[in-house]
Amino acid sequence: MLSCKINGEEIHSEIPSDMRLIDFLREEMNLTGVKEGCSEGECGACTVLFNGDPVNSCIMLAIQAEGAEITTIEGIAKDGKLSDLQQAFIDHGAVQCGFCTPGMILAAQALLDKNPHPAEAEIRHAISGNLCRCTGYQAIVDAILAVSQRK
Amino acid sequence: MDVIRPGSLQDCLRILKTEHTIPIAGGTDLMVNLALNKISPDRIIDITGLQELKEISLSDNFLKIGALVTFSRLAGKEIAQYPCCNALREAAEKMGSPQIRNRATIGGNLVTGSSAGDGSVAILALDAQVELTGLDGIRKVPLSLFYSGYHQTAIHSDELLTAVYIPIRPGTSSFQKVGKRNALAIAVASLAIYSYIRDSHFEQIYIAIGSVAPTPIRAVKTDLFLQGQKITSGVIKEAARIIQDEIAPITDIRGTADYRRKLIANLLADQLQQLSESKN
Ligand SMILES: Cc1cc2nc3c(=O)[nH]c(=O)nc-3n(C[C@H](O)[C@H](O)[C@H](O)COP(=O)(O)OP(=O)(O)OC[C@H]3O[C@@H](n4cnc5c(N)ncnc54)[C@H](O)[C@@H]3O)c2cc1C
Ligand code: FES
Ligand code: FES
Repeated sequence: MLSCKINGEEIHSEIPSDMRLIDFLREEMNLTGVKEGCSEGECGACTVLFNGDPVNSCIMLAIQAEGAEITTIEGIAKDGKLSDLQQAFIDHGAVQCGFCTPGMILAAQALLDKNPHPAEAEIRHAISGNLCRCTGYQAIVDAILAVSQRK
Repeated sequence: MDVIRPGSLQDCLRILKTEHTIPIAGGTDLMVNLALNKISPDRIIDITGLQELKEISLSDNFLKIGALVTFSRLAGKEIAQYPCCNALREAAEKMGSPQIRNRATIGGNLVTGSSAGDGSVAILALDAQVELTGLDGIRKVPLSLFYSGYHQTAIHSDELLTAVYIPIRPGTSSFQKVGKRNALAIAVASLAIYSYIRDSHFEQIYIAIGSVAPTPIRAVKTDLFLQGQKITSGVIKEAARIIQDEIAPITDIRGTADYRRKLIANLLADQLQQLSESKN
């Protein structure tokens, strides 16, 4: 039995003990915003927040989330309204195919939660575990910078 | 395959006695090896619920770092207050990616025993000891005796690495690694130095190197040469020559043996140069 909080909701679920966290989130919880790219911790597409910190859900077991708070991209919009980061990604053209976007936004959100006004170098450091094959990163960095300068 | 999450260290150790059972910490090595079918245990014990392995504490001039302390924490304030442990903090900052650092533990890095292990190389220069705990008791092993071969260490299959002890001393340490890119890069070569300089002479110096042998190694000959010396440009040059003779790296996809030798010489010269600028 796994008990944890996912996007603010208490979850109790009977799961196979060797299930990966990514499979639990996608298959059992239908949170398909968690993407699977490399399956070995390199690309960051499967990033979720684990007690506020970004982690790769493809190389974690679901059972390791016992008692933890997990946030996926589905938990970022509030009351049907996109978050500032989500809106900024749209405004800056930081989304092309969109595969990296959930992980990218979660990694950036974790940074801004701890450090609301990061320098550009800190932003690049914070998303260094998230690969994007489309944008060349500049639009993504611009979007995050825009949000950090607004507040 | 069964995964269990025992509530106490004693329970973990008892279950670890059963065959084909291995512990999982951050899982950043283990989960990848599982996916690649490099390992196929019957049972995995998740030790990440053991709070007592997450502590960092100072007593009797030893910094005790619990096996489950993550690289994110090693890169933070708790280690930054000890200049002699700089190498560990610098290694932690450069390791993996934010996501990897948030899960990867120092215990996992040491037990994996990779010669490219950033934490392992840094800690080897700090003259540390590891604490290995089994049902029969606790033993402490100097890190210099911990690595026995390619991905092999002195830990027994029914033991857990519970902590690392680093002596807190005067002096400073540093770590540098060269990879193919900044994030998510396995070291082509890495080098860590602990040193204590008194009256402009090396009172004590320990050099550790990664990715030039089957395990992380100490550069004992180079240490001996530098012991008691004053850092001059001539001494730096000679040390860089000695260290190239001392190591026997291999050629692999990340770099040739010759390139590695030169890298190590340059990393050593660079760090000695920085020491000379800060101390003289
Ligand atoms: C994308 C990626 C990038 C990486 N980059 C780097 C890098 O830059 N530098 C680097 O050094 N490493 C890197 N690694 C390797 C890895 O993250 C580290 O070796 C990490 O420290 C392993 O710790 P862990 O807690 O995840 O170990 P796990 O994967 O949980 O365990 C590793 C091994 O150690 C055993 N083990 C773990 N803890 C204990 C314990 N307390 N007692 C006994 N046995 C134990 C396990 O049984 C297993 O055999 C990377 C890995 C990935 C996937
Ligand atoms: S799918 Fe997890 S890091 Fe690539
Ligand atoms: S938008 Fe396509 S991978 Fe980033």
